[in-house]
Amino acid sequence: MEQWPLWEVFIRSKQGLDHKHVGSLHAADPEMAILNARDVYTRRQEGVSIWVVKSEHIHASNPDEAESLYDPSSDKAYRHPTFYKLPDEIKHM
Amino acid sequence: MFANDYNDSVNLLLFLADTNLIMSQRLAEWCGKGPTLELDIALTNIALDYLGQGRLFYQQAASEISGVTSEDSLAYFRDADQYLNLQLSELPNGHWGQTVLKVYLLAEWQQIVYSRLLALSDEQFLKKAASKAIKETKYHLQWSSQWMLRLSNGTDESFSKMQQAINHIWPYVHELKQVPSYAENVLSQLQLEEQFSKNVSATLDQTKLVLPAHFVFNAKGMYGIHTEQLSYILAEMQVIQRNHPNLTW
Repeated sequence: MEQWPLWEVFIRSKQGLDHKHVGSLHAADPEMAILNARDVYTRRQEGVSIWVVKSEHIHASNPDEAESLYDPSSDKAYRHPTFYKLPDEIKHM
Repeated sequence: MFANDYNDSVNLLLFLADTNLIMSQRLAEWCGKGPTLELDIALTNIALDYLGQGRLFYQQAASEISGVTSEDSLAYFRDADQYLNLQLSELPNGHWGQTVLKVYLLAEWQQIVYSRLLALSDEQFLKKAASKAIKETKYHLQWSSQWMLRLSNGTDESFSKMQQAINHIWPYVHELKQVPSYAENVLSQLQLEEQFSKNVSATLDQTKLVLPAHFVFNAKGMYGIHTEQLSYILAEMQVIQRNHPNLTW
C-alpha cells in the first residue's frame, strides 16, 4: 500500500491551555487524521481539542545554522527581565 | 415460538449484551492485523467499547437472574442457541470495507435503540446504561460513516468492494429493523423500522451503492437461531473457561 501522508498532531489538554505537539501519524485526509489522532493520542483523556497539520506544511530551522541563530543571544543577559524587583503578589514569573 | 427460562427484562439485557460481545470478539480478530497502525488502534478501541457495553448489560442480567449467575457464566457457559445476538454481529469480518459496513450498520442500530432507552424513567438501569453507551456509539457512527463514504466514493476498486460488501451483508439487515417479542414494551417496531431506514438512506444516498433487489431474509439471531459462524466464535472464546472452569488471571 502506498504510504499515506504524515500529519503532526497537537492536543489541548484542558480549556485555556495551548495546543501542544504530541506526535505524528499517517492518514489519507484531514477527517481521518483527526479521528486517528483521537484514537491514538487521546485514549487516556489527554485532550479536549485536536489540531492536525500536514507535516509537509511545517518549515523547520536548519540544525547546521544553530550557531548563528542561537549563540549570539547567549551573552546578552540584559534581554531577560531579571533586573526588576518583583512585587510579592506576582507569582509564577 | 421462542421460549427460555428468563423473563422479558433479562432477555432484552442478553440481546443487547450478546450483540455487543459477539461484535467485540469479531472485531478483536483485527487486532495486530489492521491496515495501518492507526486503524488497528481505532478498531481495537471500538472492540473494547463493545466489550464494556456488553459487560454492563451482562452484570445487570446476572443480578436479575436467580441463583448463581455472573457476567462470566453468561458469556462463557451458554451455547449458541442460547445467545440472542443479531446475526449481523457474528458474520465474518471479510475485508476492511465489509468490516466498516458492519460497524456502521450496528452503530445506526445502537444509536436508535439507545436513544429510545434514554426516554425511560431515570431510575431504570437501561436508561443509565444507554446514556453511557450512546456517547461511544456516536463516535462509532462518525468513524464508520466517514469510512463508508471514503470507500464508496473512492477508487473503482474501493467502490466495487463496498458494493460486494453490501450485497453480502444486506440480507441480514432486515433483523435490525425487528423488535423481539421480549422487547415490545420498551422498543417500538414502527419507530425502529422507520428511523433505521431513514438514517441509513441518508448515508447511502451520498454514494452510488445499489441495494440488492428486495427480498426478506428472516434472520432470527434475537431468538437464538444463528448461522454456523457463531459456534466457531464461541468455541474459540469459551474454550479456556470450559476446560478450566473458574480459571482466573
